[in-house]
Amino acid sequence: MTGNYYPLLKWILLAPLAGFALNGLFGKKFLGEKTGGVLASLAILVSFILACMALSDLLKLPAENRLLRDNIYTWISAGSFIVDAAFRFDPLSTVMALIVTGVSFLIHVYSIGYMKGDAGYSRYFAYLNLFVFFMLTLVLADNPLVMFVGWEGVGLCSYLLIGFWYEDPEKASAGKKAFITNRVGDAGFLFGLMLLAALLASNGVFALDFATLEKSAPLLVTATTLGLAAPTLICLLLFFGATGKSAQFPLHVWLPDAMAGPTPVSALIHAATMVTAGVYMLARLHFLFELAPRALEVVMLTGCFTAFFAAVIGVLQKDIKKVLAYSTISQLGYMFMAAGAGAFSASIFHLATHAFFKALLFLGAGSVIHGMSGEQDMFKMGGLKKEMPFTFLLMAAGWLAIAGVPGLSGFYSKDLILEKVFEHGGPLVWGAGVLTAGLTAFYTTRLFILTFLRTKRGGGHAHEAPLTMTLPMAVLAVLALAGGFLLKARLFAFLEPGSVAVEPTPATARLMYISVAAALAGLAAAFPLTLPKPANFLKNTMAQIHALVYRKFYVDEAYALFIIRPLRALSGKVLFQLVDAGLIDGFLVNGSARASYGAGRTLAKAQNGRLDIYALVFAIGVAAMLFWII
Amino acid sequence: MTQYTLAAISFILFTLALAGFLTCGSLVRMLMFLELMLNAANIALVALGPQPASNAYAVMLFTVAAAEAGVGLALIITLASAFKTLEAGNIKELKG
Repeated sequence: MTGNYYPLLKWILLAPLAGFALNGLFGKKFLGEKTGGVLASLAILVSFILACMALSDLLKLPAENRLLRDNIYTWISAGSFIVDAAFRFDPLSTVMALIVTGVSFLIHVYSIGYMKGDAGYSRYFAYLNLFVFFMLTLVLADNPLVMFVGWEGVGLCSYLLIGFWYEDPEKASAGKKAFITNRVGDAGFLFGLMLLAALLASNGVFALDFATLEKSAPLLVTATTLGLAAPTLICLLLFFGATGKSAQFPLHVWLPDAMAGPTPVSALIHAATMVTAGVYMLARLHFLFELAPRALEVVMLTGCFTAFFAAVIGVLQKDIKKVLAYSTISQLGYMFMAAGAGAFSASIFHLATHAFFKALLFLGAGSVIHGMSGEQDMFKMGGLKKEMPFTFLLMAAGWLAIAGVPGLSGFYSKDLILEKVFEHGGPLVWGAGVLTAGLTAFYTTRLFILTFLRTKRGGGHAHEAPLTMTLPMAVLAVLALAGGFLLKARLFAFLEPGSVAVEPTPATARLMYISVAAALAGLAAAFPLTLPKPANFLKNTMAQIHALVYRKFYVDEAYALFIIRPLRALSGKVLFQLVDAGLIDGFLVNGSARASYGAGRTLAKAQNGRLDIYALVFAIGVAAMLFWII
Repeated sequence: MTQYTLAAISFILFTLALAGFLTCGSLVRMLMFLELMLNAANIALVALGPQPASNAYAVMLFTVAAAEAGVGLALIITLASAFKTLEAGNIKELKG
């Protein structure tokens, strides 16, 4: 076993699992609300502290050999094919583990306030803890199979939490939609893995841990499958899995609907952590993707298209959470753009800053929804600045960070991505990225204005959130403001110890000015364009485009027409009416009954009661037997 | 972990599941206990069966269990909508 054995590692995972067991088994009857929530938060805090300890031990190691491993047991052992339930702690998983546990802890604390008085309180915390367990399994896994367990587990928790209020059929079906869409992507991931394992096995490599994979991946370069180079096909399949989990076009449809879950869940699972699993998978398997430049091109173009497409939809949404959902899809597109350009560290950097500011924005939105007693339509808000001063200030931090105002975290990571994309993808992809940056600034400013500024449009009185909710937001706000500045150099030195920091050249500085100008233009444009008069004027002059964007480019309708309707017709007309009712019930079940009935009726005719004919048949029978014997 | 600990886990799991199956009245729970029993059998197979073939059989058994759960849930949903109850004791169509 390479790497240093580090038995502490398993406890990072087991703490949330213990929290899940306690809350799930005893929560409702014995723990009650307060203890249950505190216990769940403590479990995450323990794993955060353990992750920090592991980090400090990791930093003591020389930079080129930073790897801690822990092996719990041998999971699969079939002849020479052995898979361990093993975990690794290297720079990449460290960054992910710290983001996951850190942000999760803050959101757990926030949830104590947000979910107060809900009937499913302990169920909620049990699911949330289970989610953190699976997410840590995903990011700490030492081989793709254990990673797949985490991958499926977070999908399950996402389904459980989207449909958390399952009495509402719309919310329950949103959960189903998320699960089924994810399964489509998972099939791609699974096929990619199987192909990878099969091809490696034909080259005599049976181990599947990441270190072995990295070493033996070059063996696959010469292989071809289905007319494609093997690495390209494997990477495309794996990327298809990533598009499902990370909500990229065409599998993005589940994420906006996933907003049916409680808002802290949207912040944790559908913004900060789970949806970034696809990006993490690409970064983890970067050695494979680097062998497949054509697959990387597909990744970059998909990311670019999704980023732009989702930003356009986000511009016209009315529901505060839907705007943030499309924003998340768009920002994930940025991460894939970076990964496609080969800048995996840049995509992880954006993943980190995005986790901070998007979690903050979602928690802020949750605070607003909480304060407005469940109202989510931005056009019924407005003027909340006075009633919710803390939320207003904290949300402003998140807004400026995502809009890309220079000096804040969103600026650093987005700018780095655009720079790398310009290098590898050319000006066209870069241009789309810059345009998306402008749109991002526009729709977040629109959200902010409609919610907090101007005069109040809806009735009722909003109230400020309790301290358990504002405090976690304050921590995230600090990270969203200063995270980019503080992390940038350190993160890269940590992730890529060999690389040297590149000094900005005049050319990259020029690119930066253009993207900042785009962001500021989007920000400024939002102020006049959200006034009712110009907004209505634009809506009326471009009614058709407005309808197209407002209905989200009819992607859901297209799925309904081309996939769901044919499937329903197949199951209703063919499988139910023809196969089940016709073949199985009609022919096999009733048919065999009818057959024996008919056979009885036919044979009964032979018993006509005439003795002479019986004797004749008897004689013929004896004669036939004699003939056969002789 | 030796194969006998695994066998013991399998035995305990099977006993618990059987006890649960016999004592609980809800159809959904009965199906879940049924799945647990199948899982216990699966663990026993992996622990004591011939290697490596038993590992492959275990994967096939997962598929069977998934199909069984699918059919079982479909039956339960149909029963629930026909009888408006999920308690096995309340459905007495076979009583003479």
